[in-house]
Formats: sequence, structure tokens, C-alpha cells
Amino acid sequence: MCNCNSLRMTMVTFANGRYTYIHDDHGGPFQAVDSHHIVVQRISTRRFLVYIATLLLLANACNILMLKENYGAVLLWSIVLGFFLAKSLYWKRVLKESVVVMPTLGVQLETHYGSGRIVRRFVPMGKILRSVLNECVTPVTCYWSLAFILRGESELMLVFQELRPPVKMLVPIWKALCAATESKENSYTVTEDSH
Amino acid sequence: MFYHFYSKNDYRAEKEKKECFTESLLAITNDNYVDAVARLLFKAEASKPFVTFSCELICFSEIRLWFFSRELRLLKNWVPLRMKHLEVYLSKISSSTCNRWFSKESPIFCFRWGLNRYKGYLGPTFDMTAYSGGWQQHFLHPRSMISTDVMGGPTHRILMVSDFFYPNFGGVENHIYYLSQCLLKLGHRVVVLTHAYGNRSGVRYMTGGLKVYYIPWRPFLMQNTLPTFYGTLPIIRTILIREKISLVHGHQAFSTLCHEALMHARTMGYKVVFTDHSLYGFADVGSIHMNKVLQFTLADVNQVICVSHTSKENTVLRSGLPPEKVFVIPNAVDTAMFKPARSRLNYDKIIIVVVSRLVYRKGADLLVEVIPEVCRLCPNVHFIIGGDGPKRVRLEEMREKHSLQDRVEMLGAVPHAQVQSVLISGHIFLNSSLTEAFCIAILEAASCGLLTVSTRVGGVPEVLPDDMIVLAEPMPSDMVQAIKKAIHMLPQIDPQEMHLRMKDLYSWYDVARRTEVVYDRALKCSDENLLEHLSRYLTFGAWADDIDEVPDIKLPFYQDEDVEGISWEPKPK
Repeated sequence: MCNCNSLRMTMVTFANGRYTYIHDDHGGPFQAVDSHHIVVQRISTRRFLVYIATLLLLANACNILMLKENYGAVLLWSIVLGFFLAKSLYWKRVLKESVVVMPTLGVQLETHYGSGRIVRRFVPMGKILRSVLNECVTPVTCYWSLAFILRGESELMLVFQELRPPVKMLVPIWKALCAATESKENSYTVTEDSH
Repeated sequence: MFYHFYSKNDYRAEKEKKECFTESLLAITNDNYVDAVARLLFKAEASKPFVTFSCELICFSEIRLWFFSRELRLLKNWVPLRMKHLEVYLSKISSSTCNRWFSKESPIFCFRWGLNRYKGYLGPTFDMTAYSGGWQQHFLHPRSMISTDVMGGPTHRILMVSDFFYPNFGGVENHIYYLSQCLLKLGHRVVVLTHAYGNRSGVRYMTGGLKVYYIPWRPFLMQNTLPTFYGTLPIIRTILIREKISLVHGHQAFSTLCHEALMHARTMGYKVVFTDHSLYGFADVGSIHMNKVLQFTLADVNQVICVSHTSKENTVLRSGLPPEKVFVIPNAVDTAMFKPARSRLNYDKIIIVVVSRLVYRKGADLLVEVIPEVCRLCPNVHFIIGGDGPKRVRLEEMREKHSLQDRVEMLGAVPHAQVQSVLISGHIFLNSSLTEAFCIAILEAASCGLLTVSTRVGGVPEVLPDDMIVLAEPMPSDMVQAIKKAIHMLPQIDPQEMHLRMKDLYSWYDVARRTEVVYDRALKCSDENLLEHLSRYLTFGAWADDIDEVPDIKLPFYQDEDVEGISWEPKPK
């Protein structure tokens, strides 16, 4: 209860989009920590459709079972198919991606999957040269992505690996990252010179 | 309605500012109003002097509303700090003076504006948003700011589409680049779309803030993207929406990406302009196919630009367009880059320069006949041949056969940056192409002060005045005679004077201004009814698909003052 007063939550929901942006600027004991979450909204109609689709598939499998005699193969195939469906729809599904900025230490990037698995990557502050907003062009579309330019590496590191949030949500995260990295820039250039 | 805005103050005291200004009165008339007078005076504030003029508002409530929604909304674009003061000021004035000036007849609004001549700087520093149609409908819509360019016309957001662009160097590529640069200087916003070149794919920024999209579609034949009819629709639509394009300009009939982009843009209701850079035949299989494609694309295009009158004739015949739709705007040359040699070369050794791709189309076979003959007839003539291609072997053989190794120098491929140094080492430029819509090479040569000898084909006779060029039929005997005539003419040629004449005759700014006229004409073309549906679909489509619009980024290095930077505030939808 005492933390709720100092908890500033800005929710920016995109009009028809799937993403919700939550910004926790923790007050209280964790004042320096700044976390940004992008949550994928579960659309109820989509869930409903998914259930209908699985039911239809099962019905189809039973139908085939009754017509054919080869129970084993059909059962095997339906189990395999069901397994792949479950994997793509539930395990690999991303619930949330978050960026936790700790100004002196570094940035933690998390991806929460539907199966409960959480993948975390930590990037120390000294490693980040700059965070950039890129326009990525593919053969069919063009979208914005947030990435880090790391010292000593030739490839950019993407902040959001799985999701493609819209640029309005990326901008406050980018600003926060720039603010966090910039304050450390001076001290790190000094240490590099001394090496 | 016409009004001119000039901005950019220069941190001077109030008195000096007034001395710098030249005032002029410009009358603005609305269609419904003619008589009453309102003068608008804004006091420029010293802290952030974007405003260079002072205006006084004496108006009544109706006009004040008009100003707020139209004029002041525009001014708000670049007078961000002083809107509050302005509104307060206006409200104070209007209540006292509205009775005095109220008239049922039509008001004329006069703008007293100043021109800052201190640095000779003329031009807006504010950023432009697209003109989005009739102002009455978008009365209080924040996005419908009507922006003007330097000359007072509306600014456009143009998408240039072609398969041919930097890092390739050629006529079309240079045309697109220079035209885009000049349009940017005039205040428009230009984005270029082309296919990926090797590793170069994605978004790149060139000089002046020119944004180039290298979309990762691989070229399949002669630098052309694979022509899947609907393959490029998603990416083209995405780019058109995110950049808020108002007009699509395609280049070169041979470019498949251009045709596809024009087709998709027309389907979506955008206005389309097409520029044809080459002449094509009518008889062979490739030409017949190309002409069919061209007819399909150009059936629906708004305006067409050709680079010479010959090219216009050719395009009209091939595509079946009405000639009224076709404009002729010649290419130009960058005279700042192509300057003549500082000291004149002596005439005991006459040097003839040839710089071209050594292919059949450029008349390399003619060269093979002409060079030995000229060397035989004129003992003091030397040749420099720059360029590479399939016919290079033939030229080398010719050299060997006639033992002309000391008189004919082959340079191989010459990078674009070094063309000028090759040109200024010669007296005469020889162009032997078999077909040319407009030859920029001879413009470059003339700008460097060389006398040109060329074949009389295509649009070449239209390019240079008669005293700068000697024309010949594309036959070896005729060309030899022409070269002899040119050698006789040589002492009367003054390279510096030629260069200055070229500067007057051809400039890319002129081309850009003429192209602007074409754009204005294209945008005025009537919309069809279906397109209203399509435009509504467009706005709904952007919403539905989360295509993020690109903000207008002001790049600081080409402006004189500090810039706040990118404003990412989301515009209300």
C-alpha cells in the first residue's frame, strides 16, 4: 500500500492493437529501477476460435479413425499434430517482454512465455554504446525496432526479440535508455582512456 | 489565396530588424469577401526569433476564427512559444475594434511581411506537413496545416521510384538525385524507393535529408527487380502510408519497380507522374513487349515528363497518350562540378575525348571505323577513350591493327568523380551514340569547355546551340568530315565562355521548378468517386495495421540554427 502512491503507471494502449505498455517507475526502496513492460493482450475472440479449431480437428481425427482401420497411425499423427499446435499456441506464445533499466548497473531484458518460461538477458551499462531506433525494411513491410549498439561488437542487439511493438511505445523506452546510458558515458570514456 | 511567409530572424535589435526588412503588402482575398481590411501585426519577440515580421490584427470575430484555424494554425507551426501571447493579444484587440471594422461586405486581409536580407537567406525553416485538401472541411483539424514553399506554392511529399539509383551512376540515377536535392531545397519532402544493391538494403539517408529505401528485392535482369505483379504491393503501400506521400514520381520505362509502384499507387488513389528517359524502338520483340507494358501503366498516369521533344514524340506514339498530358523538361548538368581547365590547352596536339559505355547502343562500332581514318587524315590528333564494355575488345584490336598505341589511349572504366579531369584534358568531345533521348554527356563536355562532335540522332540536336556542337549522320565518312570541321572551328572556342553559357542555359533548380509545376498540375487532377472510398480505406488501413507514420525529422546540419530535434508526440487520429 505504501508503494502504490509512488508507483507511477502510464498505460498507453494502442487503439486496435495487441500491445499494452506499462511503465513502472518504482518509488520507495527501488527508486533507481525503471521498468517498462509490453504485454500482449489476449483477445477473447481469438481464444474462442482456437478452441473451436481444436475441437474440429479432434472431430476430424475421430472421423478418420472410424473410417479407417489403421488406428495406430492416425492416433500417432493426431498426437503429433496436437503437440505442435500446443507448442505454437501456448508454449512459444509470448506473454510479456520487459526492459528493466538500472541506471548504474545495466539493463535487463526479459521475455515471458506462455509456458511459464522466462528468458533473461543482462547487458551491463558499460557495454551499451547507444540505444537506437531502427527502421527495418523487409520485402513486405517496414517497422521500427529498438536495438543496442554494443561496444566491441559489430551486430546490434535487439531489445525486443519476439514482439514488434509500435513506435509510440518504443519511444519512451528509448528515451529512458538514452538517459540512463548518457549519464554513464563520461565516466566510461575516462576509464577507457586510462587503459 | 496567396500568402508568403518568410522566417528566420537574426538576433538583431528591433531597429536593425526594421531596416533589414523590405515591406510589401500582399492582399489576400477570400472568395466571399472583398472589402473590409484587417491588418495583422505580430510583435516579434527577441528570445526565439522565428518571426521576422510584425502584424497587427484588427478584425472581427468571424475573421479571427478564420485566422485561428487557418493562418494561425500555420504560424503555430513555427511560432510555438508565442501562441499564448498571440491569442491573448488578439482577444484584447478584437473586442474593442470589432464594432469599428465590422462590415458585411467582404474583408481583404493584408499581410505585412518582412524579408530578412541580412544573410541573403530566403526560405522557411519550419517543417512542412502535407496539404490535405480543402481547408473548409478541415477547419479545426490540427493536421491540415497548409504549408508553403519558398515560392508560395504548396509543398508536396514526393516518392521517387526507380530501379536505378545510387550506388549506380548513370543518366537516370543522376537525374533522380539532382532533382531530389533541388526539390528538397525548394521545401518539399522527397523519399526515394529502389531495390537493394548488394549489401546495401534498408533505409539510408543522403545529403540534405534525402531518405532512400533500398527494399530487399533482388534484381534479376539488368538491375531490374523481378516483376511479380502484386509482390511489391505490401511494401509500397507501407511506405506510402508511413511517409504520408502525396505524389508518386516514377522514372524510366525500363524499370519494373517503377511500373509496379505506379500501378499500386494509382489503385490506392495517389497522384502519379512518370518520367521517360530513353527512346525505344517499335519493331523488335523486346520493344513491343515494353510498349505494351508502358501502355498499361501510362493509361492511368496523371502527367508524363519527357526529356526532349523527340522523346515526347516517341513516348506519345508508343503509349498512345494524349500529347496534352506530356510535358517536356530537359535534363541539366551540375556546372559546379564540370568546370573547364584553368589554362587553355595548346593546339599543336589536338586531343579528342570519348567517354561512354562501350556498347553497341553508344556507337562503339562507329568509333572503330572513325578513329583510324581520322588518325590517317590528321597527323596531330590524339584520342583518349574512357569507359568499358563489351566492345572494348574491338577497339583494342583496331589499335593493334593500325599501330595506334601512341595515339589512342584507353583508360578503362572512369569513376564518375574523375570524369571531369578526363574531359578537361581534351579539346573535342566525340559522341557516337546510335540513339539518345537527351545526352547529358555532351552537356558535361560543353560545361567543361569542349567542342562537341555528335551523331544527329534522337534528341541530340535539341541539346546544344549550333556553335557549340557539330552534328553528323551516324556514318563513319560523315563523322570524319564533322571532326575535320570541328578541328577548324577549334581556335574560336573559348572554354570559359562556353562554361558560363552552360550555366545560364541549364540548371537543376530550373528543372526542379518546372517539375513542381507538373506536380501542381497532377495534384489538381480530378478525383474519381471510387477514390473517396479508397482514401477512407487508406486511413482505416493505417489504423488497422499499425503502420507507424514517420515523424518529420529536421536534420540539423543543413540549417543554420539549432533544432529541437524529433518530435514524437503522437498526432491525434
